Amino acid sequence: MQTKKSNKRFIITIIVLITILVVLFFTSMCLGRYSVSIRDVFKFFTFQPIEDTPHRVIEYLRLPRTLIALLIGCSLAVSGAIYQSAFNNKLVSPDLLGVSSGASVGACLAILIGLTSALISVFAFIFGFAAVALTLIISKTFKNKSNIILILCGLAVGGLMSSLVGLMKYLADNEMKLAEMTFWLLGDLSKTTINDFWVILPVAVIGCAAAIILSWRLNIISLGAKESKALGVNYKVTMALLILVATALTAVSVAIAGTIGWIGLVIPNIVRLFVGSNNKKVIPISILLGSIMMIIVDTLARTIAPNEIPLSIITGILGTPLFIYAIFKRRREIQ
Amino acid sequence: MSIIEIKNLSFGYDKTRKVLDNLIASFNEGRIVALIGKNGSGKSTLLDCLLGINDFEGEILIKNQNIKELSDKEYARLVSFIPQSVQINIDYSLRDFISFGRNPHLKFGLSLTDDDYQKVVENAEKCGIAELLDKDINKVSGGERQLAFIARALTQETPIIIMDEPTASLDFGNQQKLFKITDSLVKDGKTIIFTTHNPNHLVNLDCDIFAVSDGTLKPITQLNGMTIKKIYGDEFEQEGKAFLFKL
Repeated sequence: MQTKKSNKRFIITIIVLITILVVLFFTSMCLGRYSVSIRDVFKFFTFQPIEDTPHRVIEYLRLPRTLIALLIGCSLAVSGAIYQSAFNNKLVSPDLLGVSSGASVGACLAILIGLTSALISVFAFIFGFAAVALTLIISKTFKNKSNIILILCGLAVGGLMSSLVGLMKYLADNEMKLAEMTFWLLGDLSKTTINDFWVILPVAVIGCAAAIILSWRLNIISLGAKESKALGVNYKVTMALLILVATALTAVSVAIAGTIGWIGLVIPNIVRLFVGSNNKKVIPISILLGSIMMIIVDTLARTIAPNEIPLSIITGILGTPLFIYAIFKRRREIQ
Repeated sequence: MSIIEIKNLSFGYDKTRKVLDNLIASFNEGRIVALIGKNGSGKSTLLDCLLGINDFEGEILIKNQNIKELSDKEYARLVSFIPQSVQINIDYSLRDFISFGRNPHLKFGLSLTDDDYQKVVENAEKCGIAELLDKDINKVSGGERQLAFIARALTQETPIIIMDEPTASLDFGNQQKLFKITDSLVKDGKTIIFTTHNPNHLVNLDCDIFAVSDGTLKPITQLNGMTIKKIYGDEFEQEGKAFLFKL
């Protein structure tokens, strides 16, 4: 039966992607300004004694950073998949309702007033949520249930937040704070520690698990309020839950690593090309492919140049051809 | 025996004007119920009330159960819905799309079983679209898409199917196909409620006709030039007669 064949293909895809992810994860441990041999990496993970320097490099730099990259990749990809399906539009990104731009305002404000990096993350997270809340409150005043209103309010709030970011960059001194803001706005994992990992881990795990659990309902929600009702899904409650999950996943990613473009937009679209649009498949595959993509991006960010390259530059360079490929494959459907 | 009872139903989008005003009606089980009326008369608003989308005053009872007291899944095990047209930008395969009809029968967190997928195939066969099951919903014709909606409603296994302007985007051949399918559904004991702009469709159809007009719902016992005039206005009496006569 066709369903069994497609399920088999899905399971094979999962196994292949997990294998790639594991290989990339260990490769990422080896690569960077200080090279670590694969033997040392193996010894580290099997709790065998190794020299102090490679041990410290893996324990304090590579491992937390790679784990964080993995969690950010899956969080952003899942968030994008949720927004795209929930709003029935494959071209929206996780910033649809203003979460990233709101988080940027929070982070820039924290940098401007000279707060520590931990507080920068806290500010980014709170402002990210606040921007989405503002979008929802404004759209509520229109008394029009159409998603278009919500998207337009998201655009308006996003625009306002971008202006505020501009204002804070204008007010920042050129020497330190402006550079810090710019680097943060382009995405950066160089300052992350294991503490950041413990912050993002529960949000990413709970968020991705919730997305998997809600993936079937997400399919139905994408058909709109009327059809959802007729198919037995509470549109309002499910939509609110999905927005909460997607916003938390994006906000925590942006809070830890700054704004990272393209992952949330491109990964779900690439996934749909290979496994179709059923979110029961799209969400799990997006988790794996988002993680893979982000580990590649982070490894490149710290290896291809003597200095660290901001993540969004690499996601843009890799994401653009992938996005064009996705459009090319779907060119006949675009009218 | 009545399957749907509408008691003192009133609804308005704002407080100044009621689109539906104190409607009282009952629809019989195992019948085709056609709702006719001019644009803006409240046909779609009434459907939205029947679907529980609009927050109306009064009561709608389905099989003696007040729909306001039913859970979403309980409601969806009684009523399935076929919209006039829906823009689906996410390209689900027809198989996935039809399988969504199993949702009301699915326990939270559980996946579809082989039996569920078997029902998808059977209903796609009934609607003549079995060979399209692995095609994307956006890559089939408007008629085939409409048939996919019907297959989904059949997969939902509800005693009532509501259709909003089901013939609007169909050519003549597909319209006939649709009526053939609805006819067989009624023979299976289902109740079909549909809206139409075209009274022409009702002449040869064994159905109960209701006119939505000036916020009320009135049963039409005989469709003739006079009733057309009442529903659509004076200027349509002659055209209405001629139009119906052609059939």
